[in-house]
Amino acid sequence: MMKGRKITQLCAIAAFLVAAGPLHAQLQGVTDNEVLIGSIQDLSGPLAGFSKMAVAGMQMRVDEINNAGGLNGRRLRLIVEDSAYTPTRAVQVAQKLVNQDRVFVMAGSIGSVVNNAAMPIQFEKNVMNFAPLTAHRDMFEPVSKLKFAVLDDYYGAMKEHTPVLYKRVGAKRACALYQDDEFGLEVFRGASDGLKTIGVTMAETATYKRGATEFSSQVARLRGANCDFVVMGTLIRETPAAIAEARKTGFNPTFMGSVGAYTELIPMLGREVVNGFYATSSSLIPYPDSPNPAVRKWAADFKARTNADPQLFTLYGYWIIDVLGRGIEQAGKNLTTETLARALETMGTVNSSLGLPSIAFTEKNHLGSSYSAISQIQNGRWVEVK
Amino acid sequence: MLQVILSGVSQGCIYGLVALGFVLIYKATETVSFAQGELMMVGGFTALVMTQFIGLPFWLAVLVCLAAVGLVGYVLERVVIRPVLGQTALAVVLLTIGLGYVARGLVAMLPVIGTETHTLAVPYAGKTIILAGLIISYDHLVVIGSTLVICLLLYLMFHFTRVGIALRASSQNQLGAYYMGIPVKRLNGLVWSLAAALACLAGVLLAPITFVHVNMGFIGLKALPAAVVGGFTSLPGAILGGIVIGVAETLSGFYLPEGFKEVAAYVVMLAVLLLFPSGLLGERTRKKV
Repeated sequence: MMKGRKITQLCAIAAFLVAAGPLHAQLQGVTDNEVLIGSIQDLSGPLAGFSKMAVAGMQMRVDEINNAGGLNGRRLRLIVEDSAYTPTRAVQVAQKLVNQDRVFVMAGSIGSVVNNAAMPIQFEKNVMNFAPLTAHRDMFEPVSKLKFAVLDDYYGAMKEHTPVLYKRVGAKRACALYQDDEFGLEVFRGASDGLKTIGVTMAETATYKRGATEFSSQVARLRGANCDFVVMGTLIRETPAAIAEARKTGFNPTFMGSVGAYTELIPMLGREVVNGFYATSSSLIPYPDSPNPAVRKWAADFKARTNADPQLFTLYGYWIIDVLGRGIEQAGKNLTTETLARALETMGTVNSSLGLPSIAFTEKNHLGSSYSAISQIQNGRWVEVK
Repeated sequence: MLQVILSGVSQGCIYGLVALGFVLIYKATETVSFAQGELMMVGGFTALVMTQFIGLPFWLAVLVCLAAVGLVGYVLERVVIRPVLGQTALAVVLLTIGLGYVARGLVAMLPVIGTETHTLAVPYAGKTIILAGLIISYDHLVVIGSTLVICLLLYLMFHFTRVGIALRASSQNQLGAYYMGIPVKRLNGLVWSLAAALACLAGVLLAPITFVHVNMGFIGLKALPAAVVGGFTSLPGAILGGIVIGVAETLSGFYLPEGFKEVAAYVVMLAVLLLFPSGLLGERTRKKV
């Protein structure tokens, strides 16, 4: 009797699974009235400062688009999960977003290491990784319909600008301090390959583990090597902590970081200690008193929404959803990953009035912009140096 | 090289302060509390709120902070730990780890400031003096100085006050102390609040170096090797252990290849345990049957 019941139950489960099988091959995250956008952010770890602002910016554009009637009759819905900037959590939340929430596209996920952990899970279900908040080359190379990026890569920007700045400040000995992971390595490789083009090799290097907070021995090593130019593969906390440590010991080289260190949070944390710090930059910071009237209006709108001033990552988040929105609209009623990719490649140049670079994707190139410049913190503000 | 050692001693003093809390609690109640790191973080945030939002002058803010976190420690002991005393040691350890998670979660929930990284405005930030050719930063001096003062105060308390002597009696033999009329349960509460206040001080001293953020308590994990190296039953050992670990870390970061800095603390702990099983200054006890 019991055996018969059990067999029936097993058959029912098997039948259900067989019926559910074909669902996996179908498009997910798109219905007649909604598009689901997923995003893996760091809401509690070292990059929380970036993510808070990015999510606010993304949500602002999502709300604007929805209030204007959506795209081709579909509203956008943004689902954000926390990776704490660790690959293990990234895998877990990617599973949740892709397989449980069944998002259509992942946008603005933050962290090279997080994206690299999440992409295999996304790609298994044909979920595109759009404009992640990291400038690692893996985000757009090799070219794939599932990878699109908008930030000029760490490697390329450092290779281009490090020798320029090195010569401009008349430096004699170069060193590097970088995060011991994909992000830090890209910055380091770009800088050292760039310096090689002018015949300079790194005299000393020091690394730290992601999340580290104490840099006395690394700084002591670089000081011991008598460097006067230090490349920093660092992010929010590490930059002011390492520079403060250096200044405390009377070590005052030229510090140069990547676009990962190009944020208002660094002068906010480091105060006077970080004045003079250089970094590569891909856009202008949207200060509320910007000379650009469009930026001032946008900043005021944001402040009215959230009672806080926007930051650079707010602008990035807003921009990412804006460009994605154009692609979704262009793809039309029949929205799939393939039609979205095609639309992004053929929609032409997207210009920005908010100080962001122009974006253009082609079939062969999924990096929207290769623009980068050098900026410096002067009196607590970032200024682009020509 | 001296510069590196000085950084190591300063960092080690911070480990030592947290380790002091570990050892105090262990001596009194034979439990290991893994919530010390998070109490340090709570101390950092309390000092931040006091200076930035309530606008107290720094020294007053620190005193208020010590009292407040001390109170938190007392309440934790009374409400969470005392009902569980008598259960297995593992249960209490897990409970304290859980307390750590709860503390991190609660602080992260604070509106606006919870998930951000902050600078604590200390009056000695960034200043340096030059002594015998070394550039010594005020941060380091304040850390080392505070630790010395704390050690002195604790020594005086344990040797010359009734409370201190009662604590020592209670830590040697709880039952005997109870028979002598010593209020053991109340003393346990005092021990926890003392340990919490020490963690708070460590947090305030650490803030200029690592900034105040919800994960700053993870450094408390390094205090465990410090306590073990010093001998889990010795208060001066905790400070000594902290300094040994701190100096080992900075020296290995400077002279050894990449990666050694992160494991130095644990390698030293293993080495010391192999050579001195009860730590450098721990008691060696034997039961006479």
